Amino acid sequence: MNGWSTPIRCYVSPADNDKIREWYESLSPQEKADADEFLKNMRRTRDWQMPHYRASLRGGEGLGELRWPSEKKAHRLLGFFMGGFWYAVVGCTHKQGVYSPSNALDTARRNKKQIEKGEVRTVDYDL
Amino acid sequence: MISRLWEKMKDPQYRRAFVASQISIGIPFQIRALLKSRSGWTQETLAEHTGMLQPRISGLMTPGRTRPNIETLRRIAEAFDCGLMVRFVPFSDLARWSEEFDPEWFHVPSFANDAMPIERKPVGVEEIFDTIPMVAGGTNGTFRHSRIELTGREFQSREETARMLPISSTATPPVLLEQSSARKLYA
Repeated sequence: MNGWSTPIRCYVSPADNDKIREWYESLSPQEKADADEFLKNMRRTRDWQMPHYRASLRGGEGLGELRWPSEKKAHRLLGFFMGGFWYAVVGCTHKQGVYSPSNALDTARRNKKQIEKGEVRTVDYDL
Repeated sequence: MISRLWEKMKDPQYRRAFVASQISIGIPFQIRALLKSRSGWTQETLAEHTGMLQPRISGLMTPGRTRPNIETLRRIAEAFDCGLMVRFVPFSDLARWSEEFDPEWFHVPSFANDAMPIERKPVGVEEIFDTIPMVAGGTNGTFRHSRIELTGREFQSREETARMLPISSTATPPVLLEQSSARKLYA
């Protein structure tokens, strides 16, 4: 291995809930296995571009999204780069131009701002 | 981490899903890495060599988009002029492969750039001292003999138990002996 790694950190809410872990735990076994395999490879590759990664979301204010299909659903992990880390802020799905949950982008923007201001803590992606 | 993966694999549903994800997610990362390693190759080049359409190649390179069948993989291997190994393995092997796979460094040479495999050397008793011997002696009349056999790019360690005469009453703890010493003492 070359040791290349993009470290991923996860948003923890002010109420101290690891929101990315909650999202992960809501997935089916197949979705979990696919997410594990996809994210493991993404952490090890420099190839953060389409179709795996959209660097800039419309109205996302600096947010990007990791993208992978699993169980006939388009899975998304919204997040952003800062200081050598990629911060995951919301896990969701996407269908016909709409996120599910529908407020995913708004929540992601809010979570991003909280991280940037240092109002919340983050944890290593360790799922 | 492989220990975390192993914990997850204790769930039968997860480990079945893990096998499927190696095909639907892992294989596309392999194909992407292979294409990247072939200088000047594009999806169109691979499409020409496989006789497939470029959109299908794109789909095969997109994690989760398709679950390629063995015939499709055979055609891709043929295009890259490399082998394709499909075999049943213990979950521990698959977990190790998944954990060690690095899309930045995955490279499979074409036959022209491959090296001829070296034949394994047959092992006989006479070869014990031709290899790298380590003899652990004890006073109970037996010793365990470990040897490392060098066969080109590979090596393996074997352990055998055999009868021996005690060297002396002072040789209580197991001792490691160099080849020449071992010859002298056990001749």
